[in-house]
Amino acid sequence: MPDRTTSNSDTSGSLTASPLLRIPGLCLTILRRIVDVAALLLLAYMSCAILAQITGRYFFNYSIAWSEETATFAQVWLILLGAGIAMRFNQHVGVDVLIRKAPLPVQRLCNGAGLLLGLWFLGVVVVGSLSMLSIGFMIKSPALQIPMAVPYMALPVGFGYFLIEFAVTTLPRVIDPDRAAASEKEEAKA
Amino acid sequence: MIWAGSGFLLLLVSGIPIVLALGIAALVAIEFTTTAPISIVAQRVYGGISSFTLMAIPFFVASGLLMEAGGIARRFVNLAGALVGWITGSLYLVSIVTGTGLAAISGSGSADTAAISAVMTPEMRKRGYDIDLASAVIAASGSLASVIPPSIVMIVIAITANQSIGAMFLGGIVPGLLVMTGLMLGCWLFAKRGGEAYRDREPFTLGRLGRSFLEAVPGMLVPVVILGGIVGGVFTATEAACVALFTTLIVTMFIYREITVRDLPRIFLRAISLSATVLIIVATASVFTWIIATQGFPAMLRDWLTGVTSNPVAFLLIVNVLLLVVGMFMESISAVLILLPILLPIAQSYGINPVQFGVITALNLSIGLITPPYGICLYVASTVAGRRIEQVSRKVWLPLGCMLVALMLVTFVPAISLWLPSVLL
Repeated sequence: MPDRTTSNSDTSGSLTASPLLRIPGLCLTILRRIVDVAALLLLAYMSCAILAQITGRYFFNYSIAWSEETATFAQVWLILLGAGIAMRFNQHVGVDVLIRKAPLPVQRLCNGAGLLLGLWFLGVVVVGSLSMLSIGFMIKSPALQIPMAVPYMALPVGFGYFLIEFAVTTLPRVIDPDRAAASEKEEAKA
Repeated sequence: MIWAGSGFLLLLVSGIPIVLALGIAALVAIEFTTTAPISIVAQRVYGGISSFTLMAIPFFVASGLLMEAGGIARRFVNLAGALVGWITGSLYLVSIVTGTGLAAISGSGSADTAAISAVMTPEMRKRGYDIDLASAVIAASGSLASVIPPSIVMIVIAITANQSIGAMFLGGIVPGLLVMTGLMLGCWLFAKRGGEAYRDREPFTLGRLGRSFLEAVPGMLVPVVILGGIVGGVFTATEAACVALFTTLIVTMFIYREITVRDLPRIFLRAISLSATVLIIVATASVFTWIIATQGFPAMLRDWLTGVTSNPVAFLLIVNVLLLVVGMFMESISAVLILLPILLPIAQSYGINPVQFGVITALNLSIGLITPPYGICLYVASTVAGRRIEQVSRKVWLPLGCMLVALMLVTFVPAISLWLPSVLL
């Protein structure tokens, strides 16, 4: 593919090539941009909050109660969004030495089963977290009295995003394992 | 239990990310063997990651990646060259010393391995060194990052074993230096008997040592901040990691001037996704360990182990073999989260100190980083050097042997891991 300029938006490889899928592809690109910016802001917030806590304690003799709590909430969001980002860059560790050597039909079968099971797990977490979320509107956090729904919300959003990235990365491996492996290798180089 | 265990093993080899394999296996076990509501999974996941202590991990990862992008590896190579470049087999020794230095500023080994390999391999090739052996040695020195503080594996061990991060960090220093010495000795002996290529070396000059030392000093601020801060009781581990991140930012942007503001989003995004891969495993592994605990698996293993042997030495040997085998196939963090809660109470019943046991675990798992088939450092080193992993694997016996000797010493001489924490804390 000669027009691969951004490795960022093109992980879906064969999927974005089709004109019918161009609109979902565009949505995915926008979604990824939003997630990236949100994650960077969360990390920036966490580090500044902790730095404020330290300076408060040592230079102004003033202990800040909210920094630890809000930074922990930010961390929950950061990790759950980050898990999806890592899926996009194919950074989640897995043992694929054996499966890569298997015959093509076996590879497709395993990848297909893995895709379904993975979607099942991620889906269960998303659904299960919704009931947690409804309770979260009633409970307040200890230090700042924020509704716990604020950090709990990271579960459906983060795992939902993880689910999308997982499907987008794994689907090409079910359809055509060889081609998917080749395009992943190319991306790893970039 | 059978469901969770066998399901997990099957999923593990099917190439699915380990985080999902853990989650799916736990979910299957919950569905088929308990009446627990399915929302327990979401609750456990949340409980697993809403921890202030774990926040040290994203900060350490960001600070390590920033340092590497800021050209610290090259400066450490120069300093190591001035220190040990006059000895036979100098380039092997320089790689090992650099690996130890980088281990003291970063928390995980694969990035260190890539950095050393990228700087050292061209020079080694030029001088006619054995590149396969060199890659194996570089992988081993990169794997030291999980033993020498700040180490991500050590943080997870400290949290799982309920020990202070400061004690675990200090406990890893002497064992880490021991492995370094062992690797250097092994490579020196090899180079002595090896060909003419290894005789080529640079003379030792104080001027060069001084110059390269001054260049590397700002990079060494980070371990000073981390260890000094935690040991002196100035910071918690999370705060120390945060200060380390800001220190690195200042050093790389204003002293070394190799990083500009425009590089930051790329580096931080990488730090976010790398630390998320670790922490999301912490989250799903907490579901997995909960379900295997409710199924009575830890008690079964404990009964079996105590039935097989009542001797602490035999127990430690069994544990070492177990951890080495697990480390060969599994990623370190999930291995710690699954096995340590089971093994540690047994170890304590034999009177083994938890800090020493944690260091033994970390060292075992760092050896797992250089053993095929799933040795991530070995894989990275061979990829950067442009060799096939099978070729490099054939030469891994030398660093592997050195590390195993060090492991035996750490296992049977408690003072190696316990002396420093007992003096400083």
